[in-house]
Amino acid sequence: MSTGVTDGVAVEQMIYTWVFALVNALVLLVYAPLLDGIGRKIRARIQRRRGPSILQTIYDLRKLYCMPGIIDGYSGRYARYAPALTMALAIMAGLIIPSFLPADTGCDLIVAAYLLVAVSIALTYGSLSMSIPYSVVGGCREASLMMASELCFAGAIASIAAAYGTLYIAVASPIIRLDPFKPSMIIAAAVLAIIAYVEGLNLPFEISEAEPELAGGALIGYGGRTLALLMHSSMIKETLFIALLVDLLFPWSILGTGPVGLVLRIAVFTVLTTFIYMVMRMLDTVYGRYTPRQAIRALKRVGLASIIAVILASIGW
Amino acid sequence: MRCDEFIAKTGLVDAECVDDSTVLVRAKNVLETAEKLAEYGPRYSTGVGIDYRPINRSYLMHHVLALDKDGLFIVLEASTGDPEPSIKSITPVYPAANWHEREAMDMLGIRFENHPEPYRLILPDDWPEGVYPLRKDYPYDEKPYDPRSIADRAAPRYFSAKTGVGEKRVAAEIPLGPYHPALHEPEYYELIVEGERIVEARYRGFYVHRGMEKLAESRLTYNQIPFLAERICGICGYTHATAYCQAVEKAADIRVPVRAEYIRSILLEIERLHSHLLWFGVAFHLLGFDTGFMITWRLREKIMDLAELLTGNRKTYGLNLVGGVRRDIDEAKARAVLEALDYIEGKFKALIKQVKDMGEIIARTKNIGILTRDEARKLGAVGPHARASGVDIDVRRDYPYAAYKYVDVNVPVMDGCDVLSRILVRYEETLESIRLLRVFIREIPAGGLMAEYGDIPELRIGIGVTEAPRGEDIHYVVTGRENKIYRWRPRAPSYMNLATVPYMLVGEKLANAPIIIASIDPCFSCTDHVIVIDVGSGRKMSLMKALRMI
Repeated sequence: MSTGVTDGVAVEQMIYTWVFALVNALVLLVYAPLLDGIGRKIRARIQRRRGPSILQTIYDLRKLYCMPGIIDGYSGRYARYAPALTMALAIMAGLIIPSFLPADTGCDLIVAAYLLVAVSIALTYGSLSMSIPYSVVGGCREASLMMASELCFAGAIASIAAAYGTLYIAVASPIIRLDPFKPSMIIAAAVLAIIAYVEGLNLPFEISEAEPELAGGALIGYGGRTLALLMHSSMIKETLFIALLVDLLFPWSILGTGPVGLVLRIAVFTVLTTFIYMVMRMLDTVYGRYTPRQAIRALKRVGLASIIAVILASIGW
Repeated sequence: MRCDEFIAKTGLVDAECVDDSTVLVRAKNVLETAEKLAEYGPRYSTGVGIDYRPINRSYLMHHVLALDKDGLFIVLEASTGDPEPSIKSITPVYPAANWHEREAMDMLGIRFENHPEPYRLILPDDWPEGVYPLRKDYPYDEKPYDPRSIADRAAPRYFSAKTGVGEKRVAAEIPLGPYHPALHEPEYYELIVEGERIVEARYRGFYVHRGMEKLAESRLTYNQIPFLAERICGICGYTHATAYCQAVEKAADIRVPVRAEYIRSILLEIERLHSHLLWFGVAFHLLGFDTGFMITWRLREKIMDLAELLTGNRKTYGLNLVGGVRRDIDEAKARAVLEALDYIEGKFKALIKQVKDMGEIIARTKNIGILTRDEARKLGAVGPHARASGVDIDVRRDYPYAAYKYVDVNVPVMDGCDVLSRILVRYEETLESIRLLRVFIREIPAGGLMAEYGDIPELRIGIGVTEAPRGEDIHYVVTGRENKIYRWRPRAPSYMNLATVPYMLVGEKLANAPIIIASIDPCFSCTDHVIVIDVGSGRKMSLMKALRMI
């Protein structure tokens, strides 16, 4: 099932769609760092600290954006473009993945996955173009983690495709929902949740920046505005992974249409994403950090689960 | 074994007893004597270069060997004269003597024949040749400036360990330090990595040498030095002050009142507790478990409060003088200590129980950073680091001092030889510290706090040794005239343990490097005693700039 321009919907609806998409992307720019602030507060409270204000991440980003961009002078050319490209890709993903408003851009799940992976690729390539050894090691770790988690991601998508018998899976489709009574879809939902957790660089998977080991790793060569762009886009990417999970799990059609439906959607989406984010941050505080090998080994098990989901989906379970 | 029994058993002709537990062997051929003594399995403890020219126109090198099972120190003396002092190196026999001989070479200009690594260790590379700061004719406030005689900057100063990898390899150099989040003091590790695997590790330290020995020997009186000694370390300073006082007390045969011994022991255990809790916090942080870091440091605050209650200070207690202590502990303070210990013990046990169930922490520490028992013995590892490699040594039991003479000390020893064993040994030690504190508080006898003594005789040797949180802390003194020390040489435990780190790093993953380094609980300020000076401009320069010049 697909929606949007490909089905010849009215121009008015198309305008609505892209206005909604624009609003989603703009709100994400604020919402993602706000979630980060909430995460910092949660971590602090669990550790019995007062912690910073939940707006602290926004203040930090504002300060960094006001500073000139700093990049290690011996770095490759790509390292200079990576921050802007990473942010552009994150915003593009924010435009097409429905979040607060039901922007039915006809976004295919595979396209969404590609865009989210592209954010990681841009960041990784930038860090690998640096002349700083820690940045290179951090980039390698980010690449390893990305490849391992994207294979799991691909498995989850394949199981959904097998369950619904189509490769075209519109994220905003009211039909494609992960059926809570099908074992394959339960596994697929769990895999997507784990991928969202991993992509959020939560412990024990926080290995590419690993401050005590790599002094910041993939981000170490950046400062000021460029650092802000990379940090900001990483936060948006993490939020979008959660948004994707919420989009696919919640039966949005029960909220109805019209202004009331819109308000309900905004409320439900906000509550669900915030709740999932908070649970992730709580888990983050009780783990230590994996070594890269341990992280990949753990993701192999998740990959195995996603393969099982594909097999189950293909036999109709 | 007593000193005279040892001399009778070995048949050493040039040996004499300094005291019951110290033998002085004046060797004509130091290498031969060292080889002969090696048959008894001693551990190399410290090496002290002494400018003895004002006394008999010679330089002395005192190698201190420890027979832990017998509670005996053997001082192996080698002497040499001007103008080019030279002594046979005993590093081929005792690898742990490596740094001590190089330090004597740097600071006193004694050449060690056949030393395997005759390079600078402590002085910066641009320190002028032929200038030796610990010689008696070198003024303590002298600033060397002679750009014509700059030392060879290309001379290697690294202490390294390699694997047997071939020449054809693609490797990258990863600098770890001198400033790095995992290193809380400036030290430099150069890690050669293939992928994430470390194939070679090089260590370079001594960035923060402060010239304390020179200051003490030149300006300070016997009872001023404990306050300087306490500033050797920001964590375990009290153990240095105690070791120094014990060394002088031994040299002058001063008997410290028993109550003062108990008070010293109480503070030593308080210091061990806060040091171990600090280390646990750092280790958890490096392993990514920040919640554990927060909990241990919060518990540590309770210990710091106790230190303040007992001494008036959270750190640098200022409690010791030669002959006793300056403050008493009353009933109310003792009760407060016992109450706090109950709280700390419960919380700490619960935390470690949780950590033992954390798969990722166990996986990141088990079979990581291996130091075998033989390597630990050969390199002279001490403290929890050595005990985690199966080396059963603890100064509190082997060379009882202060109130440890009156109680039994349980010494946890493990044979895992890895980071996990070091964690578990420190866990057991923390609980043992709590037990000892309870015993000391309950059994402290009434009595005075200071011994009465007259003038301290000159040119006496004294060895003061304590079990610091990181291991054996040994202070060697030679008494002097006019209420001043002639030679004072503190050797912190990290001095011995740091030499083992490159061995533990080789073959490991880069991700494990910080926790491996931290697993020895390194204290660089203890180990380092010289600031980097650009002799070209005569100005001090940054460490990074200094490094770029290498």
